[in-house]
Amino acid sequence: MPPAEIDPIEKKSYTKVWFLVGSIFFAVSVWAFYSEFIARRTWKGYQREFNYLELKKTQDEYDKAKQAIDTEDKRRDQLPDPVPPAPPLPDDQLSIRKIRLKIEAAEVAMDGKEYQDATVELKKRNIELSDAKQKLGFAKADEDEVFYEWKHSLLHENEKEAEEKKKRYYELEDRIAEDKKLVQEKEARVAEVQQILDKYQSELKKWKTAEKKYYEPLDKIQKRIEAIKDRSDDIKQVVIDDLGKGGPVAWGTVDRCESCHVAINRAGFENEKQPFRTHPFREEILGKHPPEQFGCTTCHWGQGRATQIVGKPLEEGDYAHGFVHHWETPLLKGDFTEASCNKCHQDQWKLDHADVAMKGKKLFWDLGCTGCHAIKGFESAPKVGPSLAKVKDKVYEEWLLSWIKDPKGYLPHTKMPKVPLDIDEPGQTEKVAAYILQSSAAYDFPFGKFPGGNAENGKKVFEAVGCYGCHTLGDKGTGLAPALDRITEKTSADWIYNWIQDPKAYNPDARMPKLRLTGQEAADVTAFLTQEDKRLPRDEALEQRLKDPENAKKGFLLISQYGCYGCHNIKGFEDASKLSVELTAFGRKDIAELDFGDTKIPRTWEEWTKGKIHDPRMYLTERTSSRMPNFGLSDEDIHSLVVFLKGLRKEDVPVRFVISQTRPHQKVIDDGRRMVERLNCKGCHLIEGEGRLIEQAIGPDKAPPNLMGIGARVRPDWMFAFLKDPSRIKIRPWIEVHMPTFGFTDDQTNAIVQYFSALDNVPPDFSTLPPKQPDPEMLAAGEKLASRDYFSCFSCHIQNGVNPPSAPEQWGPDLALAHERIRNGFIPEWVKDPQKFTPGVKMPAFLPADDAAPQDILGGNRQKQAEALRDYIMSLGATSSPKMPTTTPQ
Amino acid sequence: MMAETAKQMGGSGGEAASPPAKMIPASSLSPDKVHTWPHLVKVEFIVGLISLIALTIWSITIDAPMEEPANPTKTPNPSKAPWYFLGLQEMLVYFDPWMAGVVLPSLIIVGLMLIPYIDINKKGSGYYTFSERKFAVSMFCFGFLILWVSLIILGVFFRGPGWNFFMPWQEWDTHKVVALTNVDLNIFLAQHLGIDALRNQVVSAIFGLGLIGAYYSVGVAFYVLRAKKSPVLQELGPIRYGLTAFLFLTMMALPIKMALRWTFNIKYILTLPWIGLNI
Repeated sequence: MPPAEIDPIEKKSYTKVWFLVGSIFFAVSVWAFYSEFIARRTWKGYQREFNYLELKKTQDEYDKAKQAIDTEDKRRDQLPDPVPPAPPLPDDQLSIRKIRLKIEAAEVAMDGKEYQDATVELKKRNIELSDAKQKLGFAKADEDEVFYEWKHSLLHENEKEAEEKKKRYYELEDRIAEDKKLVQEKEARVAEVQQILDKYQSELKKWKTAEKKYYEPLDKIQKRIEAIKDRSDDIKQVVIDDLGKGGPVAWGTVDRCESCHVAINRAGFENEKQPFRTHPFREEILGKHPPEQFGCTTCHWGQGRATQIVGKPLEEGDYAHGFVHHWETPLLKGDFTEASCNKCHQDQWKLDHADVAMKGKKLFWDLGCTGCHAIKGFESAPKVGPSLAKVKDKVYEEWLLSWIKDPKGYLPHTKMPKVPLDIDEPGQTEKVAAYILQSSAAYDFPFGKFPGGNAENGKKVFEAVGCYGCHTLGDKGTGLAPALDRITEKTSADWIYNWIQDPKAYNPDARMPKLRLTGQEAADVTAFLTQEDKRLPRDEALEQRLKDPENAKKGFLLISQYGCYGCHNIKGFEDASKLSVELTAFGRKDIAELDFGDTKIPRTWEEWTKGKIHDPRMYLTERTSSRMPNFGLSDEDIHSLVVFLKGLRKEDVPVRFVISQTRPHQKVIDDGRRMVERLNCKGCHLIEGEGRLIEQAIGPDKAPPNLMGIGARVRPDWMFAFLKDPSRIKIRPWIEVHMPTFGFTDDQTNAIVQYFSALDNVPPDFSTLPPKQPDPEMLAAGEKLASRDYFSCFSCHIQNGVNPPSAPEQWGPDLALAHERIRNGFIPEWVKDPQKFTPGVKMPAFLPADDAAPQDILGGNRQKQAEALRDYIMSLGATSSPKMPTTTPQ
Repeated sequence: MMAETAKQMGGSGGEAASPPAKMIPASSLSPDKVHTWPHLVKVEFIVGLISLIALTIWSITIDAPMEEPANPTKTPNPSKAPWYFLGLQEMLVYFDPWMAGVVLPSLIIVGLMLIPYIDINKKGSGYYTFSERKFAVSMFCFGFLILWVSLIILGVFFRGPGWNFFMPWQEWDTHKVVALTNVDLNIFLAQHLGIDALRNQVVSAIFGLGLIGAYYSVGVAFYVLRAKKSPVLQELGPIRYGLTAFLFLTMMALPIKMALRWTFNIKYILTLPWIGLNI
């Protein structure tokens, strides 16, 4: 080959450029790998850090366990060995050294002549045995073959051969029997030697097991330590296909949160720094919502798929928690997490760890926000204000005007907001009032004019019938219904006189129940309430203007603009639609969709919403208008409303997560709670540990009964009949406050009965009344137990209409009523321990334990005595069965 | 024909399978030619590596920008096409969608396809020259770099919510309001020159068609005036010249329209409501 020609055109060497570019490329590749596998996988570092932390903890645990064992061992080691004939130390008091000595001794014993000889002999005898077994086995095989040949020859009609084989078969049968005997003999010989060996071996095994058990706790920890050391870095991921679909966006939940929050569902890391800390309510919340079924972002939001944090946590660049420009659901901070509860707990109004959100939800309902804003699930919300259908015969014109202008000026705790009237144009309030009054129908005053009454007696009646359960007067009472101090400013004695006798005659939807007052009582109460006439000075000109139909026409327009009909029934607005925007998906509203006006507040959803409720007119500009009234809420109330609203995201939660769908029992309780709240049952009664506010006004002894455990106690049919018409019977005649007639529908009554049953976890089922003539022995025993000599039931309980001798505060219901009223299985459990059902009940526990049972009755059998008491009590009293009312009492 | 092709292909395949041909010494080539390998390929490879380095660093340091999760009920604002289409989207600001979305893009493609047929200048083949291909090079640079690329840059970096104009350092305010005061040319002239006849639709249509006709007739006039003196035009011939002139004038119509919009808020020059065409 000719020498390589020097290329004349190649004038420049690229070697250096090549080297440089190649080196840079290599370096960049290394950087790319580093970035991909280390820098961007911050979770790996966290997992390793956590493993180190856990290893240290486990190591500590190991050291502690070892120390404990060593200390114990030292103690045991120093125990003196008792000298025979004293019994030796029990096995569980031996130290490891002593155990090992035993092992050694057992092993030494095995070196002895007896054991060694036996071993040799066993070998020999085992050979004999196996020979015998082989012989037997072969004989059996031969026999099988011969049997086959015998039957085969029979089939082929070879009589001669068959006969021969048959003979051979029975010969072999005999041989097998002999061989079996031989095997048994040999087995016996083996067992004989084995027995000697067992003696030694079991001793060794016993101490070896003891040695192993001695260090078992340490071995367990050691295994855990090794498991931690063997751990690899893994993304921990939860995938839930059907959960997490937000509105029209359809995707499931993919949460990798536990890749860093390794110990979130593990006890023992409560005080570690984040991200290693255990969930603060691990048992209560994660117990019911396991992360592998519910995910994390379902409640907390954040970007479940992301695992990286660039910069500081919870600031822009924290991808994992969703603090990145376009992520719509960054981690909910503080009590805003509660906003998530509502999507599955729509029907619940009481939820542990979600007080703020639940309060917001209640406020939304109770303040009548639903009057103007629709929300999915709140369709059944009633109009929260009273009906104005007959208002012209109720209120004075001057009062109506001052009320609309400033409701809180008259009633500081009223829910009625201040409507922004008269701001854009003066005189609007008058026009609204004109329409309300002119559209109002007349009230026929069914009970006539107020005839005058005795105020002093009225005061007594007022206190006795339980008005304080809902109303306030002076510094007494509860705040559900209006304060009555300035009632004469508002309405006339005639109206009060009629209203208190039958509220539903004035307004069929009135929440106030019928108190079953006599005409005289009503007159006295009216006299008491109207002692001082505070009517505002009359304004003839105003009254004239309010009668002007032109003003009413303008008022109609104003009412339709400001939505008074959202809360009140007003004639002419029966079919009016909701005034303002639907809020079902308000929580996902974009900042760009919110008008901040000229304000300088931070541009966040939370701030906007807070501001809007605090002062609905704060975002107004020259070009916008606002009709939302000001509710004058406290900062705390506003915050809870904001939290509730934040959760309104129109998410399609699968049915299996919706609590009211999966647990109908819970739904019964939730619906009942709403009703109890709306009717203010807790104003008088103690229910679910809350209420009985009337106590403060009339004292605990006169307050209506504690209803804890009432579902387990009272028969559902009796409860139904009683709720329908409470006038039919008085269980506690010494209490003056009597249960008013609410006029429940059957549905409502059932809802209440089921609610109380569900609270006590008993079915609301109907049953036949127990027999009144039980076993005479039981009856006699029961009577004896109830007598003065034993439990002396009638020193507190009324006995068939006969009052007990003690003070009325000590009295208990008439036991003669129990037959129709009390659940059959209940009394035996009740007399054992009433506190279990009704905490705070006055009745003592008569049979709390077996040793409390009087020994001379029914053989001292506690259960039998309780049943005997039941049989006796059930045999008392009236024989008539309870009557179902045929119509709703009027 | 088919058989021949097959034979050729088979032949070349056979060649590839045979041992490599002896390297032809450089000296046997003509003095201004060199081998592709290694002279060209190794330099290209360096360029390739540098590109890879740049792309790798870019992808490490800048994460792919993500927008909000897709939501069929919520249109993102601004709604932008992929970056390479933003020039087209920007054109929509100045033209009727029918023009900006259908006619002009089609003309771009047709025009590019026509280049081999209307460009008969053989110079510049295998080497770079500007002086021998002044018109071709400057037209391409103007059309591609100035118009197309700058429209993309405008669309990517200067257009924000509501397709409003934002400087890159300005915050994208969703609520920005820009007065819309565009007016058709006929109305503009009617108002400013007091020619009320132009308010009539028919008159204005005739006027607009006339204007456009006049615009394109500049190309005809140029040919008529210069053809005799210019050997280039003669060589080109009237058909090739006509196509070239039409494409050139159409291309120039875009900056002209943009300038009219920016300076006088002119909306359309010609409106033909009867067929829904606006230019």
